[in-house]
Amino acid sequence: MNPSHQPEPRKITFQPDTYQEILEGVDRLVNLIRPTLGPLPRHVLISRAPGMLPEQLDSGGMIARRIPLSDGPSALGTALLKNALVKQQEQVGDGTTAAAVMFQVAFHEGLKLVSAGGNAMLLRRFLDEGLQIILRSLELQRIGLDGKEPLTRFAENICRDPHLAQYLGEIFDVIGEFGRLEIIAGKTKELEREYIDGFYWEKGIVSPHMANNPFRPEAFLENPGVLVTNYYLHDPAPLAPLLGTAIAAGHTNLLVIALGFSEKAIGLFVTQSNREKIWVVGVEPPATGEERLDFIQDIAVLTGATPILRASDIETELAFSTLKNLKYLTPEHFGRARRVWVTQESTVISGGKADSRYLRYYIQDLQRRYERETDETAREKLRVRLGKFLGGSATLWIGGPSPLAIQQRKELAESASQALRNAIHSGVLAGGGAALLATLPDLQGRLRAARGLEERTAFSILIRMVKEPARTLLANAGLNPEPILDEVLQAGPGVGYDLRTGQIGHMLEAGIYDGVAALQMAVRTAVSTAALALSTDVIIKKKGNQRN
Amino acid sequence: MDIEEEKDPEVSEQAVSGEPVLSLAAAQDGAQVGKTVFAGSASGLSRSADGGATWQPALESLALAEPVPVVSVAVSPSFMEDRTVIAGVPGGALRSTDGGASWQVLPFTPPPPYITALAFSPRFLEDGVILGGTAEDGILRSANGGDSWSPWNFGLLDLEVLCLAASPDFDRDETIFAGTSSGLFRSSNGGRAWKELALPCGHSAVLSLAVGRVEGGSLTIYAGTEDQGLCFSADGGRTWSLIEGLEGAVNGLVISGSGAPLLAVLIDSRVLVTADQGKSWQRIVLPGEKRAVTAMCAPAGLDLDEPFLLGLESGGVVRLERVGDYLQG
Repeated sequence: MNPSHQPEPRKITFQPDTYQEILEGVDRLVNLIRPTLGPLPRHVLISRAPGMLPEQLDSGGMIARRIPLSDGPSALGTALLKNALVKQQEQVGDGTTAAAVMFQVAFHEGLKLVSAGGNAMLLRRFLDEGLQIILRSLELQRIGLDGKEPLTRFAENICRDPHLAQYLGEIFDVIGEFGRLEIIAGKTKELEREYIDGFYWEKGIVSPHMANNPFRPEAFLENPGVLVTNYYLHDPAPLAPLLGTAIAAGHTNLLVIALGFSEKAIGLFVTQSNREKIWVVGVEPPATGEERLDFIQDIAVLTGATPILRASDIETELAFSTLKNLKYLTPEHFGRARRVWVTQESTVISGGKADSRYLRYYIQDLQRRYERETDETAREKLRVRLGKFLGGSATLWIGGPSPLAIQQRKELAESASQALRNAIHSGVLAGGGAALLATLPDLQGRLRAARGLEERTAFSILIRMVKEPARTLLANAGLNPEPILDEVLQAGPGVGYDLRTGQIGHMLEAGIYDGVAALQMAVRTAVSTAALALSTDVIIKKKGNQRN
Repeated sequence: MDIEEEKDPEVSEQAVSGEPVLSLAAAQDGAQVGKTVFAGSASGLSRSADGGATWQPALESLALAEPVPVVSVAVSPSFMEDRTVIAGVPGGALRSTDGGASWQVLPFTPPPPYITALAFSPRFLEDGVILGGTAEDGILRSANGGDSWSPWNFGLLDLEVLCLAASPDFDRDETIFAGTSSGLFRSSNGGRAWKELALPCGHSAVLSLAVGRVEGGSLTIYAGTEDQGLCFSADGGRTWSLIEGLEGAVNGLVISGSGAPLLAVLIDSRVLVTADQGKSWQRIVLPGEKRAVTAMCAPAGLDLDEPFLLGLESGGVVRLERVGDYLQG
């Protein structure tokens, strides 16, 4: 008998051991990352391969990502929280440690109730109600984030690297929410950045024979015509009349975007006799399937080109007119641009000559779809498309003293840039835990109206929970949190303790921000994960496979 | 008691070129206030050293084979110290660093731009920043006094720029506005990235701009359109209203720097002045034959008691000693 067909051994855990196992795993992870909250964080060392220096981290999100899952009884608690924190880090780039410490409070306090016989499901219902109160209150505190200085301060709050924050502040001030930022490990100790102004994609020149740069296989075209098709240009026969039409249209340069180019097609484009009249550069579209059709549509709107599409694609509902065969091509079907750069790896179109008013409507439509889209992948694709029109592109090279330091700095830059995008989109609020403290009056009001045990406990838990990030920040700085928290709460909403100056003051005025999206997600993560953990009664584990 | 009969103030028109005057710009600092003035036209650039009373050709040192049209001209805010003037011409720009006596052709990357509008940073002497609006290439920005230029068009959805106007507090807020053939854009980072402002008149071409600030208040912006009149914002561009009763292409705007919010509007070929944000208007009326105005400039800032220059379709420039003397209700 094949042993793989035997049922896998399983371990089933019932209460009260279930809570105990989750509690141990949760505390293990939270206690590990708790010291990293705040501008004066402590570090966590994570060992690497033998003989290598340990990794020194001060980002809760990065630690959560690195922490290995053990096979011990507490693994499930660790995994439960780790998954929630990694998701938080990936989606909003910040707020992981705040989420962790809030979760710990909610779980510990909730556990006291359910261990004493309270109703976990009822508790969960009231926690959810309180969650909505907190989210609403945070929503009301939101302000916009705009301008290089505020963006830099926000980035510094996230990455705690002033030099990196300066670069990120400047970059996002230029490219905005939608622009493309490529973060690359550099080869020096310094940071460097470069902006690309135009519609960019990662496909380069299809043949070095099309280059007009004498030193590199690159081409620069002034005022080119633009032809775009999703045909593979195999047969050179219809291409000769195409060139004639382009020349008749007054073009001396032509960018041809096609699915592919045969050697014969390239040969025709680069023959000396043709080249004396028109310089043709071929590139391919960047994607496949529906994404390719989106790209072709974007190029058509950008340059005013009429795409030549295969019949199957023409049946798709498109926002522009199309042709189905090269033989129908006339001069007005060419798009136009001011400049095109084509390197071996990429192409940039600058100054597409389409109707700029129609371009606005097209972009507004993309923005509406972006706002409505709930699927993260589809939303990201829309953001990239919007970025090509609105934000252009920037590259940031991350330098550092060692490959490990560069890698860590690169991860920090990626998290911070994600947080910056979210903050530009969703706004910011008072940092240092102050925005959460400002939700207390609403929660306290609701507590006063609470009747049953579960209801009272739920709002007591949430009141304790929203204080926890501020409390942890103070404790991490070596301060006694309670008297300072009392003073802060008396000073009113938006006020917190500035750990850099040792003063109590308005956090927004001091440039201490939290991103709305990150903080709201942190609260959601804490409450929903705690509610899930508290309403779990039985754990079934496949032995030796706890990672799953 | 003798009562002297009030007479219409007279004006004399000084010939600048045989072509319509397209642009006027005056030095606005120190002892040069109102003295050095430049006038661009389809036949070149002229210079006046006496506030527009007399004019001389400015580009003679270049010994051009044929005249070069000058669509835009701008004088450095620190002209007394740097003596810098930039003139936008088809295919690029010319720079003088000696007050217009000699000129250099500035380098641009191909294809050659057509510079339609120019704006200096108020801290030009320190930061060397100049912005050029172009007919096809959007915004070109130089941070070294014009020695090199780079395009900065992030967010600028229309690259046909017709006018530029910097905030009076540009050195602090880095805010500058660009009118294009299909709308208005604002940059709050010194002209490197742009966001569109929603005008009440949709995507009309914005031909002219004026930006001022009443002390302690928000930026006041006027945007003159080609066919939808004059738009006004009193809150830095967040909200806009359309000023009623003005019909025609708003080809030029001049605003007083601070204090009383005076605004001169060149609409079609006539000039109107308002002191109450467009609620009431007075017209500048020149004695004698009717003259079509194509450009205007307040060499010492817009003030009813100060001189005002009018560029004419005939190629001449008229200097009004006190603009207030020529206003009619």
